[in-house]
Amino acid sequence: MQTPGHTDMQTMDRPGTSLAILIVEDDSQVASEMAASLELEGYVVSVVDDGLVALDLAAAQGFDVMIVDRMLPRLDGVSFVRALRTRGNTTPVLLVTALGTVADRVVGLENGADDYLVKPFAFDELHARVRALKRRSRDGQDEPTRLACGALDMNRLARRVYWEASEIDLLPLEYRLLEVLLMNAGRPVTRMMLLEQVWGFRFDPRTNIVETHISHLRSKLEAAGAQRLVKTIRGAGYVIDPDPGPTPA
Amino acid sequence: MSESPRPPPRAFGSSQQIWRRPGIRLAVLQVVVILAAFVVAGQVARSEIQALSERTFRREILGEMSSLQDEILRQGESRLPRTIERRTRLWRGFEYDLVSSKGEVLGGRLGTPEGQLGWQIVPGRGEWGQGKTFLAYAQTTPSGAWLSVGKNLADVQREMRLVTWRLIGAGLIGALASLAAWMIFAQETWRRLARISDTAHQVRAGSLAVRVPHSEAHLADDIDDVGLAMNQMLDRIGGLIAQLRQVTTDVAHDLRTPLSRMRQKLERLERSARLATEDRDSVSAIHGDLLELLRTFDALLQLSEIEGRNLSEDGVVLDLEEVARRVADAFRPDVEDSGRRIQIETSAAWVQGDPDLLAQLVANLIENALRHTPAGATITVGAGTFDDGVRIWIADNGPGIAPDQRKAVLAPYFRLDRSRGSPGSGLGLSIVAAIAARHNADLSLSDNGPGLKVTARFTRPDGKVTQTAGPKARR
Repeated sequence: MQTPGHTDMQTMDRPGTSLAILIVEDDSQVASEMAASLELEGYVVSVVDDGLVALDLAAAQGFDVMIVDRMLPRLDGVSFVRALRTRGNTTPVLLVTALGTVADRVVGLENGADDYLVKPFAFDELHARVRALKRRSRDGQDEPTRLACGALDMNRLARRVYWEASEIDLLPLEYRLLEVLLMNAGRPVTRMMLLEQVWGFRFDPRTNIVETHISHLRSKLEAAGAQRLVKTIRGAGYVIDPDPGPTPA
Repeated sequence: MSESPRPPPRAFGSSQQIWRRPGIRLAVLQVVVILAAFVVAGQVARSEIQALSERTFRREILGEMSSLQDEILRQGESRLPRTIERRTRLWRGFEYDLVSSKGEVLGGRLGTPEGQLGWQIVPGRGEWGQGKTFLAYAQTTPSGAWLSVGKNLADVQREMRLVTWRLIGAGLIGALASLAAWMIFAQETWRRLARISDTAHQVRAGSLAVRVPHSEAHLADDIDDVGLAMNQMLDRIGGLIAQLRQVTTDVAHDLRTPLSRMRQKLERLERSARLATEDRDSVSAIHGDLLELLRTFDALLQLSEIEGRNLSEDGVVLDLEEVARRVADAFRPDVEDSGRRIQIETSAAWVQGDPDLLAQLVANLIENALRHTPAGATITVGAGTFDDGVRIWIADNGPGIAPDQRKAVLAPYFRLDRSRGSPGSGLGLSIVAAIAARHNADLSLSDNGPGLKVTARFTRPDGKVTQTAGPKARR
């Protein structure tokens, strides 16, 4: 896999690092809006409106993440991903679809897509997913046995969490929530991603499940002395960050 | 909705009641007709045989009579008593009577009544004649004596009984043979009907791709026509579903693309620094309305997807206990923060199904309970294996739903008058009903005394109770 720009592990998560993203989307308005929002985040974005052209481009040039529409002229998104994987290209692919059916998602993922997003989506959702895909491509399949953030230390073999020396007693769901946040430390994780990864829900319950669990987790962390570790990013989701800056409203 | 859901449909060929099989009554009728025909034929044959034997008897008797007459002519009548005595002793199958004109018995033991000439039936007399009936012919001799020759009809009757038994035997063998031949034919017919029935059950269970198999071995008959008609019907249904799917896909695509642009522009506008505060509030409100619209749109699409979906393709074996606990645990903080309680009472409950959809079923029902109960209420989430299938249930002790409205709440967009002011798309319970239907589960709403209890009972597509991989329910 070609990964241009992957020189500094610390700086690559910050905006300003020029990471290459390929958008394959036939609706020019949607494509340009997506491109504009991603460019604002500091990515270098290429846009193509045709699956076959995209396939050639992917072979010629390395991208960090590809955002591919499910329905494309000539070569549709699923066939594109399958062709890409057949050629040994492992670049993470986010499949974007207007269909949004369960069967469609399953077909997409089975054919080699890494994530799946239903139109219309919030840009924050798109950004968070792209960041998570980028991390996955960098980390590969390695699952670290320990996760840390500042003085917070999670031992995944013993399933225990410590703040400095004292252990924090967490319920299984709170542990899993913290684990997902820690795996994405420094990057916002959206409510939808948490629903998928913590609860295994592919639907949106119209209640405050995520908010309530976050607030319970937060109060346990704060009781142990970890102040303002889990921050809410309005509209975007949650982030765990060792920097104890002011929590946005 | 009742607590005792309708019995699952019976698969063809599993019937223990042979009387319900097609053609069996006709077959029985056929056997009865064959036996009746044999009885009639037997009766006819009997009378024919009887008439025939009687004719033979008469001929024999007349022959014997003329032989006696010859004796008289040759040797004179005086020797006749001795001849009769000899012939009786030697017994050639005839009985005789010789009575002189004065009424004196000269020989024989037949006991023909006096004065009657010609053919007559003579009942046996005394101990010797018990149970015997004779056919006799009486004549006068040249001297005026009374001579009669008779033959026992019991021999004929014995022969007749023999004939009757043979006829009954032949009739039974004929009936059994015809029954056996019919069974061989009927088995094949039943097998072919069973194939049509199996196909219908598989379609009901969700595999729309199956077709009635047809063989080229025999000439096409009515059953082949039924199978063919069913296959054509399935082709048509398949075509309509594909068309509906295509329309749904097109509508989803054609609506989502402009909605995507709209949402993107609203997001950008909302973040724009140039916007006045009140304008920003309006944009936020529009954005919120758009999201609400998208939720309803998604719910509708999902409803049509679940209803048109082939479950057998993506069903996995899973434990509803795990699903119930996972979802209930997810909701627990929310429920408790709202001043309600959630309790879990589950045991192993293995079914085949879609884990995402089943989690949504539980979640929608918990949300529903949360929305329609006052603070302080208790929501119970349960799952387990019972004699009549695997069940999952969500119950509350809130106001409940009146019995006459229980079925209506499952219809899309139905909302009880008292819930009209509260948020919700009105599709939550419809999605629950669709998910249950997709899993061949009976959904029932019942009184929890007080409150509402919603139960989904899972049975296998063939109507049998879902097999359990775990221990029996504790309850």
